Amino acid sequence: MSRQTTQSISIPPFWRDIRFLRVVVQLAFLIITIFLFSWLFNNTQNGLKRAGLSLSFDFLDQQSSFQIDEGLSPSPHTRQDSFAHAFGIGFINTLRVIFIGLILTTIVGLVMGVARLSTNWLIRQIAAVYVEIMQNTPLLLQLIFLYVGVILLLPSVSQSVILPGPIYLSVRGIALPGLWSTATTLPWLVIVGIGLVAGVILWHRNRRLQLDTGRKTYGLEIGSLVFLAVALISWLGFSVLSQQAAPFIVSLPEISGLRFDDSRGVIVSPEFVAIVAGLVLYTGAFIAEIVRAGIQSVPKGQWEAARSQGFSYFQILRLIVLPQALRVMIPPLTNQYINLIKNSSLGAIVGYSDLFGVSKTIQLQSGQAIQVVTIVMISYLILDLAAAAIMNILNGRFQFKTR
Amino acid sequence: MPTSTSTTTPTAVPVQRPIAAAGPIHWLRNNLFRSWLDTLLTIFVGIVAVSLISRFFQWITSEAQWTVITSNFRVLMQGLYPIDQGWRLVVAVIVIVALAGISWGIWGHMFTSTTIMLVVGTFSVLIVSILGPTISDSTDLARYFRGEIVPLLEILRVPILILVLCLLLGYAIGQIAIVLAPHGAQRGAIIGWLLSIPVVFLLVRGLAPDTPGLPLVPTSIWGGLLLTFMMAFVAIVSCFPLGILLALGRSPGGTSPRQAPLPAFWFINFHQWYVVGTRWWRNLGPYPIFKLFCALYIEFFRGVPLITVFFTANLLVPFALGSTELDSVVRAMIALTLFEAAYIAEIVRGGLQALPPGQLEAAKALGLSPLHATLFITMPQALRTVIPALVGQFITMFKDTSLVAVVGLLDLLGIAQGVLAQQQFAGRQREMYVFVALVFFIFSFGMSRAAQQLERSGSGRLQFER
Repeated sequence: MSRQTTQSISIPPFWRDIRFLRVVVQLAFLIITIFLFSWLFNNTQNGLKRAGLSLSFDFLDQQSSFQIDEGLSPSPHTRQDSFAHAFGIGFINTLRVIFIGLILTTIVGLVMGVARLSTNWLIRQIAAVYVEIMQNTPLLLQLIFLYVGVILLLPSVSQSVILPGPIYLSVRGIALPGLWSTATTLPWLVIVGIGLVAGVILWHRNRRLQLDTGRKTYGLEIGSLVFLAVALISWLGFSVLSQQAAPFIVSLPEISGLRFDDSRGVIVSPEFVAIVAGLVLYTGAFIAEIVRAGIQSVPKGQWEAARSQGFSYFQILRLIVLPQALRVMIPPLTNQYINLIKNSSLGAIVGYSDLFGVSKTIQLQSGQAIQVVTIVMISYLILDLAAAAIMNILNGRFQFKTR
Repeated sequence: MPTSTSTTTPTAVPVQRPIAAAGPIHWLRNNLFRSWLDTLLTIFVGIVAVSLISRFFQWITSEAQWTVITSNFRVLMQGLYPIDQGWRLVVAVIVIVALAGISWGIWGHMFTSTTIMLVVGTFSVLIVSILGPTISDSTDLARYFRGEIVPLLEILRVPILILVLCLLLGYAIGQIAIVLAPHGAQRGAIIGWLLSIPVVFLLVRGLAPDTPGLPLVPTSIWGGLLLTFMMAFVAIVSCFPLGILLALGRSPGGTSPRQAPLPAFWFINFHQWYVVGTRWWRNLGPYPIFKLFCALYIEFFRGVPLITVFFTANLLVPFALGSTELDSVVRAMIALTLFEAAYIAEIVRGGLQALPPGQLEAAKALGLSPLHATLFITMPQALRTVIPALVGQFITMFKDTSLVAVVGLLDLLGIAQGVLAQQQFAGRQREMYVFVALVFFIFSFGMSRAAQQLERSGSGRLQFER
């Protein structure tokens, strides 16, 4: 009704109607953007043509004629392999850094975050100094310092620093004891898995019993005992009775001549150590701050209530505070994990053959700038989106369930 | 009742004995030797820390050779910038530092301890560098001190003096201005910052090759700390408006009133595809194309590493623009701006979303146009809430500038590596990197402390919440 009256008073001309204007402005923006991009694309194509390059991805099948020494096997990429193969190896190397880095950085961040709230003055101060130094200097500088100023100044292999383990630190990398799988590894793991399931079932059953009856049932103790017994007996069974090798062999690193023995232990390249250690120390500082803020966000009453119920400090932290703090922590934690993934591209700076490092070499060898850049960017986008998606699912799990 | 100490642990700790005891022994017991586990930890960590620190001091006082810094100081600070034009940089630094001091005086509050530390630090540098050469070479330590540390302090004393003096003077001016004219002072400082951008840029770059007094210094020969600063400065200043535009473009969502839940396996029915599609398009709000564009832009730049953006800018921009007129410094500046704008946009969007919807509704009810409501109502409040996050991002940006070394630019870190590549300075990595780290640390630490103060002083809080 009122609509009719206003219309009869004054109908604004259609070019002053907000709905019309919206459409026009957006269409104009769209057209300008498309023109701009096509102009840029055209320019690029002309420039490439002048430089004798194309936009096809055919070059991926060509021989790369360079070698990569970093990867899962001793010589993962030879001169005869294709560019596509090199990309694959670079991607795997990036994944290795990300995987190890994410695990270690979470541990470091958690420990340092708890340490920043410690009741111990000394530990609190040390954690604070660590966080401030890491947060206020560039990661690139830390990486270069770690690589050039620490790792490359380590002694040669034959004079390695030997830590208990034995762990050898040398300028050629770090050699650690490794667990080598044998023919009986898989069956043993299956049996251990069954033992684990049985242990967990026992634990839960006894705990329910304890909750129902109030009688102490030692669920966790019995469950872990069953699990350990299964693991141990099957280990002994495999190694003694079947006259085969034990499920795992501990392989200690050894020095042969001027280098580590390739067939023993786990040998980690200095570049890998540099990029992983650098990323973990840097991101760990940021995660420590997130952990601290998360713990501080849990009301003091929760601590007091838990303490009045007789929980110990670590029990309170594990059972009461951290689960609540996680709700606050997960969104910023996601950001830091994504940052770590993106920063892993700095491995190229310390000579680690990750995706970015390999693609720089490929670009120099093939000259195909646009394709290389496209592949690299899409790869990182996929990694980041995957990480964000996983963390989003986690986030949904940890939020308060509201009825 | 007097409580024991000033150390309030953030997480409440059981007070085993509620005795109001004071004194060092009580403090030690409470803070270092609470339980046997604590004691063990304290002793172990203490031994490691003391050995590390003493090793570092041993290095500082007998091994470090700072000639690598003293003999390359100028190139580290200004790259290949002409020596006779150095005064322009000094003026630019004075302008910026004085502005920072004035802003500090207006919005912040300087603790007496900070002031004392600044003054005492400056004076000790002055005194040591003046009296240092007169020390006799009686001991090894004295000889080392005279040979290595005093020259370093001698080179640093004038810059430090200028910086601290400008900062303190600016602070005093700001404090006086805020008392005399609170609103005028704030407005003046903001206008000052806005004006300083073109002024500093023109001052450092110059106008044309033959301008008397201000000859052109092309960006291609900028280097060292100068390049680091100018990169950060240009990027911070220019990514800010771009980020705000992106945030505005992405933030309006459609109101999604009661939507019928979709049937299971909706994707089997093509009509349902249409329903889902239109629903999605409606939910994009009144400006779907802007919103899609901004969302794509933001997600793209937040999903790729900065060095790949630098790498791309370096490789593709000459092709895309059909010329090679843009030198690599400008290219890197553009790349950094485009990249960081996405982060700024997300921060600003967070601020906009944190605003109670009543603010915009009230503005509309009062008859403000969308533009005016944004300019005068929502944006100022949103920005105020996200100041700490913005400063955090600016610190990141400042540190990120070091990545231009990847595309071969000579910022502070790039120059440092160039110096280390010379034969005569081989093996001096630690001195050089410690120095570079210290420079970065001072500035980012200062900025982060300023952000903390802003956060605590409450200027980030929404003012209408009383």
